[in-house]
Amino acid sequence: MGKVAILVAISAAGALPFGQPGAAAPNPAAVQNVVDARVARYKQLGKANKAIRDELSQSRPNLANVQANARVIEALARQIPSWFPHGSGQQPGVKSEALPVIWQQVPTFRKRAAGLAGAAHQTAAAAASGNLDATRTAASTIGPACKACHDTFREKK
Amino acid sequence: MAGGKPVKLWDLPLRLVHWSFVVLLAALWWSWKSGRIQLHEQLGYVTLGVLLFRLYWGVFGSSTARFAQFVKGPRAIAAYLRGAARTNVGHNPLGALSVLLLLGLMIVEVGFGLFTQDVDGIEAGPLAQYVSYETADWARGWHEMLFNVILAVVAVHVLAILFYLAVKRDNLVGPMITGRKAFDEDVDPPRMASLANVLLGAALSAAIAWSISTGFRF
Repeated sequence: MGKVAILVAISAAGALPFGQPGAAAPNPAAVQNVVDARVARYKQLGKANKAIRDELSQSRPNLANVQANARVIEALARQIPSWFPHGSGQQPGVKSEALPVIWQQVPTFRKRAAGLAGAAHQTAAAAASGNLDATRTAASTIGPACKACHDTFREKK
Repeated sequence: MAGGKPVKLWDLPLRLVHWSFVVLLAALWWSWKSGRIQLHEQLGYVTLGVLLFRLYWGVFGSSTARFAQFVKGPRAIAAYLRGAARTNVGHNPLGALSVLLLLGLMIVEVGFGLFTQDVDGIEAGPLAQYVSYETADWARGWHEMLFNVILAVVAVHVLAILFYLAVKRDNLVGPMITGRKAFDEDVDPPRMASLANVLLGAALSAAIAWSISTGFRF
């Protein structure tokens, strides 16, 4: 059994061996788990975003609900870079929309994630202040912040 | 099919509805493909209005537009296929199925679109606010899938028209453009609806489509 085969066997058996670029390729099933987990978190982001949209389309929006969901988005957005360990991108046997450019432009990727966290933070702060107009204005920056990242780093369908 | 005097077969509203579907389907596809989601939504509302008008016209419109006139049972379809049927003034019993299928598919497609939300919760149809994230995401899946079904049925529709042209020597496209068709034998001319009726149907359809487009928040 060669060195690579042993490494593959170990990674298949246990924890995810995502190290630095150049480390041995983990098995596709383990990578797919990482992909699925981050897709699930992105759906939580989408859900919170929908909750804010829906609340703000009411005639009398409940700003406490907007605030709570904006906090959810902020907390998740701060985690985004940690959802993309090296080696968890597109590869044979793995279904993912995460483009390789994520790992080629890490600082930009982090900046975009921080941009979403910032937009959500502003929204939560505006909602906390009870100012509906300011909340609407801040909330309207969340969608473009999501899109800014997707346009560069997510595969187009 | 050049025999007798041309008869007015399809009224202008019906022809406009028909050709607007051709334009709308292409524009809806293009606006989605190029990421112009807001334009896509607006085109969807126009499509909704046109579909509503077609339903109105199918009940109150000119005789060749009315569902009750051209939708026939299996026996009539079988007779038509055997070539035993009389001359059709309007949709034939088989073509009626194509009309129903295409209209039905487009109605369901627009219906799903109204509840559709992108996976990120950024863009959403006007009725997505009344359903859960999961349901809106499910509607998106169907909205995407059904479009391909519609394309397939359109392809069959176009092939059928080519078949009538090449094999049966019956040009169906001409009358759908001019509204007129010449028949070999004497036929009862279809009864055309009034302009007031057109305006009433258009106004009703536009009003309903507009209310839906606002998500019923005026």
